[in-house]
This record gives sequence, structure tokens and C-alpha cells, in this order.
Amino acid sequence: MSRAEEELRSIARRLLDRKEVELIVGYEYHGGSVRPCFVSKPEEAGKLVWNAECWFNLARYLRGLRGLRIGIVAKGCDGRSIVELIKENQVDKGSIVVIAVECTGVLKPYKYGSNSAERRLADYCRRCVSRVSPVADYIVKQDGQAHLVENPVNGKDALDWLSLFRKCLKCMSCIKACPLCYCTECSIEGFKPDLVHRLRVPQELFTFHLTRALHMAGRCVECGACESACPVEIPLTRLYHELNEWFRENYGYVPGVSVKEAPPPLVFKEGVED
Amino acid sequence: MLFLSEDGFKRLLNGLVSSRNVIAPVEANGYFDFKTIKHAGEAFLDYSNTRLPPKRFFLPQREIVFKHDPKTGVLHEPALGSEAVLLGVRPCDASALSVLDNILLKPPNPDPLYESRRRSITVISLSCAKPREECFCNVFETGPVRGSGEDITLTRITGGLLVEVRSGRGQILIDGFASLFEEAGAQHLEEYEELSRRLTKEMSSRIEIARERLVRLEETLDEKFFQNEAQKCVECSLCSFACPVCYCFDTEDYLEKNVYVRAKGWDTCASPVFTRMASGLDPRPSKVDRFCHRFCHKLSRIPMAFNAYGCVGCGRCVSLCPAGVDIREVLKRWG
Repeated sequence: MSRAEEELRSIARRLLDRKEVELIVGYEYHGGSVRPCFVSKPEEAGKLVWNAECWFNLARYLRGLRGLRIGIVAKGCDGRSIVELIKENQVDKGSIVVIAVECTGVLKPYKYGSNSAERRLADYCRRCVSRVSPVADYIVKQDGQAHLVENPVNGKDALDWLSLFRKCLKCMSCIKACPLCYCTECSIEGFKPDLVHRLRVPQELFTFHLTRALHMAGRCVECGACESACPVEIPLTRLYHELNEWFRENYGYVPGVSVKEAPPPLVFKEGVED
Repeated sequence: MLFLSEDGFKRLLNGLVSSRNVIAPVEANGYFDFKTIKHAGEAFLDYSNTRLPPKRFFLPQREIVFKHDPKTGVLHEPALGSEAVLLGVRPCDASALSVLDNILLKPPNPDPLYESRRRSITVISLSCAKPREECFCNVFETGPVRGSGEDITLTRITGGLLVEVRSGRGQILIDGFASLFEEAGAQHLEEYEELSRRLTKEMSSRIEIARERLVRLEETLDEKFFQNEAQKCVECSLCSFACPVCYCFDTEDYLEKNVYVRAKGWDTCASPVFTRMASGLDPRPSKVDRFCHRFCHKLSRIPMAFNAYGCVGCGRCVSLCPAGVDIREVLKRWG
């Protein structure tokens, strides 16, 4: 167990002991990997872990836990999604305690049927802009471990999105794993309008992915949860990164960096010129 | 039991590829997947298992059930399955096909599309050499060597492969290449038995299951346990999409260039709209209901109705679930 993990556990134990939170959302060991877990008793805080396997963005769970006082373990990108959720009135900052863990990048998950057991840093972590959550009640530092990021690359090589989308199963796990896809009536999944039906593959794969991409533009914090959940390894974060770049160039806005800075679409007023 | 030397196997592969449509595991974008191969070298047979099961060759993600032209009144029936050899299916996935046979081929309502594909595709399974951490086929006795539902079982042993013919369709294929095979010797069979024992021992899951207890899963449901587990579930439905057994489907009618089309394709019980009826009534309105349903269906209702478990222990849902929901934990509690 690392010192960071020890510190995380003691913070969680204290928060639950003093009843400052009702539930801690964190990670626990599961087989050779880790998985999300919910801890509600101080004596269970010992099962919390923090390492490079923790790719899932726990902010995804906040929408289902409204009304509870939640402690949440957050990487840099997870924290950025919490910022966006606060700005979009989906999360009440007063009801959550953020335990920010300093992140040096997560590994691409070693999933069923992977052709190599060799582990490497997830591609999206190479484009990371914040190792620590911008909102934090506690900060757990790493033990001076070397950064996993060797060379931050932008990955400007063109991808053949057409053939990548063709692999899509329309399982929608990208949507379900996303902390910012909280619409109760999803325009892609819903029946009114019936934009994308699961049975009309492949014509609607493009409608699906491009609709989702536009919905993520200027909002996606590039945590990579969608990409890591995808069973056919479509590099979705790359697509959203390119749209984010466009958004930044045109509106000077980077999502999830500060709670104060309002997202341009939210402050847009009809008939008002700059 | 027959023996096929390494060299004989190469010749068999070449022979199959040059004469038939062969689907085999290949390496693609970081994971293994089944694909039609053009030459024998493309097949990658040193694989753990494919990320997605070979289910789609029998139950495609989307298929046309019929088309109807209202102007001419002509009803177009779908094309039936075309001949192919599906090579390198792991025993668990092959066993999943026999579960599906139990469900989809039985009267009174056999699925003609599934039936035609099942009849035209010869399945050759390849026993596992090294189980993954998530694998638990030993629990349902669907592996790691020799499943059920395949036409030919291949098992790698020293110097070649042990070949077991499992069906008439398998025999026809073997007869076409009879010169390559020889009778297996006693030492081959001994090695096979030893391999089977060793691999089963290596499997990390030690779960004892009893059918009598599992079929009562629904009555004895521990709601607290399921509520806790369901809290983690993000309803992404990857578990059923990656499952070699999940067969639930949806149909949709639509108009395409003035022709009515009825399409059929995968659906998933994890989706909130799966059981929602036109009236708005939903018998499984909450996430916990849907979550329980998945396990009850696989471990209790399918065994009661079709005398086979709805799970073969391939471990895909365990590995691919972003939330780490683990069917083995359900089995441990109720097995």
C-alpha cells in the first residue's frame, strides 16, 4: 500500500467517523484490477485504493446520489467534470466533499480479448491539462513517483472515423459511462425524435456519433471514460478533443477549469452583440 | 479421437481457406476478433479469447426478417445462411451455441434464421491453453477443454492437435481431409486428460453451484445485496452485448424507398426502455429490477425452461463492465 493510499483511507475514515458525509465513492480492488465502490462505514474505508488502474470517472455516480452528502475520490479530470456539473446545476457543491488525488495518468484497461498484456498509458492522459482536481476539499499528493507521461502528444494524425464508427455496436456504453451525459431523455436513445435506432445500423452510426460529439463540444473534460468503456476501442476522446480545440480557439473556453468561468452557451443572450 | 500433426494442421487450414469461407480469430486494433480470412496466415490461434463472442454469426446484431413491397405485393424473404467454417471458437462460446440451440431451435417457435445459420456454419472449437483471471467455465463445466455445441473439438497437445468429431457435419468436413488425420495413440489421450485436469485446477474461480438453489434465486432474492450491487451499475448494457448467450431482441418496422422493412436485432434488458410498453406501463421500472432480472433470467429462468444455464462462464461481462459488476459474486452467494 502506498502512502497516498494510506492518506486517502484515513481521510475517508475521518469523514465517515465525523458523519461529515454519508457515503464515499471510491475504488476498490477487483481481481487484478480495480472497480468503483461505495463505502458508508468507517471500518470499510480500508478497502479504498488509488492507483493507475482507476480509469473510471466516479463523478458519473453523482447524479444518482442527489440528496446524500457524498465524499468523492477524484482525479484531475474527474474534478473537472464535477466543475462542469456544478456549473450546469447538476451537482450542489455544498453537498459533496472532493478528495482530490494527484494523478500521473491511468493505464489503458487490460480487458478481455486484449492482444497484449503489455500495459501502457491511456492515450487521452497524454493530453491531460490538470493532474489535480480544480475543486478540492482534500488533496492527496503522489509519493514523488515519476510522471507516467513521457511525451505529451496531441495526436494530430488523421484518423479514419468512417471505418472506426463502423465497428460501433451501439451499446451506448460511451453515453452511460460519461459523467456529463445526464439528460433524462437522451436525444440519441429516445423515441421522440427517433434519431438513432439500434436496429438501423450502420446508416445511423454517424448520426449517433456526430450528435454526441456536438453535445460534448466545449463540455467534454476528456477523462476518457467513454473510450476506456468502449468494447471496440473507438478513440472517442480524440474526437471530442478536436471539437474542444475548436471551441477553445473560437470562444477561449476550456471546460472544467474554473467554477467561476461560465460556459459560453449558458451566457449567450439573444440580440446582444459583443 | 484423431490426431493431427502441426504440419497436417497447416495443410488443413490451407485446404479450408482455399475451398470454403473461413472465419477465424484475427488481431485487430489491439484486441482479438473473428473475421473472414483470405489466407491461412491471417488466423491468429494463439489467443486468449476474442473480445466479442462469435454469437453475431448466428444472431447478427441486425438482420432483415422480411421486406414487403406494397405496390407489387411481393414479399421478400431474407437470404438464408451461407456455408462457412467458424474456426477457433473457445469451448465456452461453443457451449453457448448449444444453450442457444436449446432455446431457439425447440418447437413450437424455432427461429428459422438462426436455424439456417446453425445448419450452414461448421463450428470448430479450440480448447484453451491458458484461462484468464475472469474465466469461470469450470463452474458450468463448459470448458476449458471441450465444450458442447461444436462440430469438431481441437485440443493442442505435444506435436499437434487432438481431434474429436462431435457431429455429422463435423464428420463430413473431416472426411474431406481424411489423409491428414491418424488415430490418436494412448499417449495422446493421456496428455489430453492431464491437460484437462491441470487447466481446470488452474482456474481461479472455485464456486460450487447447485441447480436446486439457483432456480429458486428469484424467491430467495437478497434485495439488500442486489440494491448495493445495482447502485454501481451504469446501465451501459455491455454485459448483454458481449454475452455469448444473451439472445433478447427487438424488432422495428420502417419504410425504405417505399418498401416496408421489418428488422430484428439485439436488445438488452439493461436498457430502461426494454420493458416499457406503449401505454407507459413498465413491469421493471427501476434499475434494481432490471439488474436482478439479468441474473434471475440467466441462472434461474433459463435453467427452469430450457434445462441449461444461461451463462457459460466466459467472463466477458466481468472484464468489460466499467463498474466491475461480477456475476461470480452472485453465484458465490446463491450457487
